[in-house]
Amino acid sequence: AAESFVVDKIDVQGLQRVSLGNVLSKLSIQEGDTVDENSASSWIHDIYSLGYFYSVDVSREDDALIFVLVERPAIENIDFDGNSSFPDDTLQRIFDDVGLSKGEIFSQSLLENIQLEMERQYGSMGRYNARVDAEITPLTRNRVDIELKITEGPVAKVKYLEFVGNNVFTDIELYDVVDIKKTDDVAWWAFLSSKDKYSSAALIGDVQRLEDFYFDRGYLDFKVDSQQVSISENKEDITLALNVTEGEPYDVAGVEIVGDLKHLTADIEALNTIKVGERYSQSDVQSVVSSINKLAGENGYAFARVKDFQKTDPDTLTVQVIIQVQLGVPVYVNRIVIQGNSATNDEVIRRELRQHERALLINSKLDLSKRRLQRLGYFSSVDIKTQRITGRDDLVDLVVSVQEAKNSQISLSGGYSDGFFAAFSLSQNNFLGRGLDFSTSVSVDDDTQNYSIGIENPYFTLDGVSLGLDLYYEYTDYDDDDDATYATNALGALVTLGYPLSENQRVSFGLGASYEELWLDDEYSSQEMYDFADEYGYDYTIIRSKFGWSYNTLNGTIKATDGSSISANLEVAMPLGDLEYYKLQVAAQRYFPINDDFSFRLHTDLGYGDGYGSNDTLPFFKNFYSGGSGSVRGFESNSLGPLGTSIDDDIDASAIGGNIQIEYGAELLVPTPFAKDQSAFRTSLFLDAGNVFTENCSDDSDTCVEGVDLSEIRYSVGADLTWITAFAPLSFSLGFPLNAEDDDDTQVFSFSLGVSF
Amino acid sequence: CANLNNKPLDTEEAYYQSARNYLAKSNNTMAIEKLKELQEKYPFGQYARASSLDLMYAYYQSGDYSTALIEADRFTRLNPDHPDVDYAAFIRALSYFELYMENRGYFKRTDPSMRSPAQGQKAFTALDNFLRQYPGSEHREEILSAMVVLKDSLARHELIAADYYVRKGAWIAAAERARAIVDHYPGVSSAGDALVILIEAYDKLDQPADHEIAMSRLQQQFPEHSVFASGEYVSPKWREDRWWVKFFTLGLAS
Amino acid sequence: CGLLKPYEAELGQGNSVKSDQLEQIEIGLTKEQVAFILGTPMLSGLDPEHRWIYTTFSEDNGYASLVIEFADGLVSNINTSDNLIVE
Repeated sequence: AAESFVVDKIDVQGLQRVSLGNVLSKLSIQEGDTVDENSASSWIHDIYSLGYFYSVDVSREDDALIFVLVERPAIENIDFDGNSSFPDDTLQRIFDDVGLSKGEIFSQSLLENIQLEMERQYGSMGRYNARVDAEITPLTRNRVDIELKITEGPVAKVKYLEFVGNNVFTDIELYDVVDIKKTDDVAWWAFLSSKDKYSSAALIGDVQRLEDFYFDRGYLDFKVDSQQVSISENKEDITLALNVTEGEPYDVAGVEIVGDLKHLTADIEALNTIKVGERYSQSDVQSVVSSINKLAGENGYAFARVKDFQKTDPDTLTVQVIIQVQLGVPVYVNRIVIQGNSATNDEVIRRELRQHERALLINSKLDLSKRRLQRLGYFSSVDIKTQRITGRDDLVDLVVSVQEAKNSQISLSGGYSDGFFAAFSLSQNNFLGRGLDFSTSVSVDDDTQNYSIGIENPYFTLDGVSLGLDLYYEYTDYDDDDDATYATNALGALVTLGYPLSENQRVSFGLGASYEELWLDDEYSSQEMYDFADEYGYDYTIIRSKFGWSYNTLNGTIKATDGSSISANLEVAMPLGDLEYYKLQVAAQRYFPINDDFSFRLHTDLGYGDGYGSNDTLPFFKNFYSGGSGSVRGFESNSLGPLGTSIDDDIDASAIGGNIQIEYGAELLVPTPFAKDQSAFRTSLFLDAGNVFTENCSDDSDTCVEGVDLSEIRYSVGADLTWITAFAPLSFSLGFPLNAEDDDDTQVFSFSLGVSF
Repeated sequence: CANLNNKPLDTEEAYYQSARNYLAKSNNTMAIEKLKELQEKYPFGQYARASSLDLMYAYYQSGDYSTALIEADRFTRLNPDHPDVDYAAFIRALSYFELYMENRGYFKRTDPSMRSPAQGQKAFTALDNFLRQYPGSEHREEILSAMVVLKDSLARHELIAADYYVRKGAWIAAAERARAIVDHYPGVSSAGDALVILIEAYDKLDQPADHEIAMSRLQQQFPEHSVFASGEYVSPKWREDRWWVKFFTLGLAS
Repeated sequence: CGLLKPYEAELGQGNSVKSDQLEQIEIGLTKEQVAFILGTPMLSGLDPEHRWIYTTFSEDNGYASLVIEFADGLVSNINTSDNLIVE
């Protein structure tokens, strides 16, 4: 028999990348143990199981054991070609997870089962011809290069789709239910759609849709008995047959809500809208189940479980509906941990939360908190998760994780063209991380000095009373070579106080004063302007008060996809000042999310202004304008609406705006093609419509028409891409006017910086 | 063994030397580039491990703390028993610390406890583990001082949250946050303020017994706390808001 | 002009105590039994060894507490403040 002996020394040779410690820890023997030779095979097996070694052998020299190991080669490089449905970085991640990545140790078996797995994945995506081959090229210093050659082959298309055994519902009705369509059923415009592409996942989805369809109509015995999938010779055409047994429809015999309903018994029973004797419908039952769940969540039973069961009686074709409610215990929030905010103060986030620590966990408060954080516009992503605490079934921590978006708009420019000029502007909506809206701009050159500063603290008080201050001084000494139609210099201030009326409504009151100077050009200004100046002079002190009401349930700012917002603002120039006018603006929008990637938006901007008391019209420099980005794209900005009467025959009249604005439109938000980080882009297809009108034409004007004429509304369609950069959102849009008149100034491409949201 | 590469040894040597020179001149970007090339060309060279140590140091010095962390973890995973593995643990702990310090903002003037404590907690555990594993390490002093800064800052974070709940009138939440300081961060400067919050909270929550316990602890541990300035306890005027200051600074100061 | 009342979100603090739970609390219960009936006390207090405090809160009548005292691990005294909110 092999004799045993005491090992006085273990020597391991051939180690390069793997450390001695790794090997010794795997070995079951140490120096000084008594071992016997025939357990050598178990030592070899242990070392092999590390997976790092190509060959392992052991020899004995009197009482020393010598292990000679040859490490497997390290991977120098892996690249893939021919993969279109799996992008490179997804493949890269799969390989990294398995340990087949640059610098790691190469294992042939790992590579083989990845290849099999990929071919299986392709099969389930309908690509039956797919083949994945790997080419290993050894390099010096025990390294290898791996090249994965993938031929995906065509996706098999569903040529024939038929249902067998359905007599209550016709084939046509069932075609609408399933997602997979026959190739010639796919609508012509949906050429991009993959509805006719076969995949086992799509089929499973369709069986589920068929079941839902029948269960919703009371056919509780419905079953898809079998699915015949046959692939044509060239593996491109699929015939799909679904054999179904419909059975008979069931009526509801009774509804029973079981479980300890505690103090919510009456409220829960009130939610049961299923009537006995009526045809059974799964969707009705599910809506009752979800409303019970919601009620439980509102009363602190965050982990309540509600399930529905059916006891069918085939003889009487009736079904007993049982809804089992397990409320569990009331769940409380222990601590709220906020993470990801390295540039936003904790309080700026905590103050938006409607759920507090050491209080009952109410689900609706979490959703509300998340939406309020998204609406701040400081974060590109917001997530609130509950985290169970070990050993406590009624206590959870809340983890609020945010990703800060860098959306301060800073621009700095200066230089010397025909005179020295410098301009600086900064606007940030999370200034100093304290949640302040701050904007300032300075632009100075030989004949202009513009300074403005605006600060608003949305939380002047902890309950959201906001206080804002705007100061501005704009002075330019115009001369006749600026071809502006008119200009105003102004020095003024405005204080605004706002507070919430409800969770989603706010009101604001503003009081301001300004001293304004009008400048008119002797060629480009219009007759209406001179008429105004003759009557009211060239400089005015305006005392204005502002009233605002807003309703907002959007789930974001620039990138909102759900919810709606309405705002109404009234500005009144009061009799204390030289001018008396009022200006009312209403803006409303509503998002209709279609699915995760698509959302439909309707929006409208309406405006009306008029003079009162000593002014019989809205001053022309307070007119509404229309056209351009943020208005009716496809037309030059501010070019639509009534034209001023030019005072110099060889200068053609330009738009003078109007005191009535009607703008509306629709937008379809779509995923941005080729964009890796979707959160940084917003792409939409739009229909814009609008124009401005006036109620007071000057008698010398021959083109001006008083009052609203809806046939004058201009329409345009197009596409818009907004890139949310670190400095400012840039938006590029292509707008194609649909009913431009010949003297309209159209502009297909328009670009704007700092889109207002 | 199979790895006897026939190329002159110096190319590997040359890479490593030039990397060391860049490091000496603290040109971290170039050092990182050279070290990465060395690791790719000579994954098995005798400098493989040393270059990994230098690489994590270079990332740390250049301020790329998250990559320094990854490099340190990789080194520890591949060489659990390497004599310099304590250095990797050191770089890892300090990288967490620096990531927490990024809370100070661009001008490094904001108090980090005003913002997320997540990285700070990870840093504290990493530093604590390091000291337990390598009590004799020559970095001991540096680690201890970092831990003191962290402990104080994490305690102040609790105080900031408690103060918010006090102003909100959520007295239970405020009391529990204050208790977290008293329990987990004994001896920090903000423990005194935490006891004051407990005194006020138990008063508002009508719990005289706990009110007394908190009061006696404050008297023993922080006799010269500002609330005792006038002899006996005077509850702090909760950041008495001077309304005119608040109005004209839009609520930023009071 | 009449200032419309600013909206204050509902605060939410402390435990929710039910009348049937209150009836089950009696002298001599162990801590596990109390925890099973009333759940975790939100206000932990500085002497949880001898005193558990279940505090309730409502916007109208503020904070009120049910205090359960323990002597060597068993409930020795129960006092409920009058404006305790019991559902």
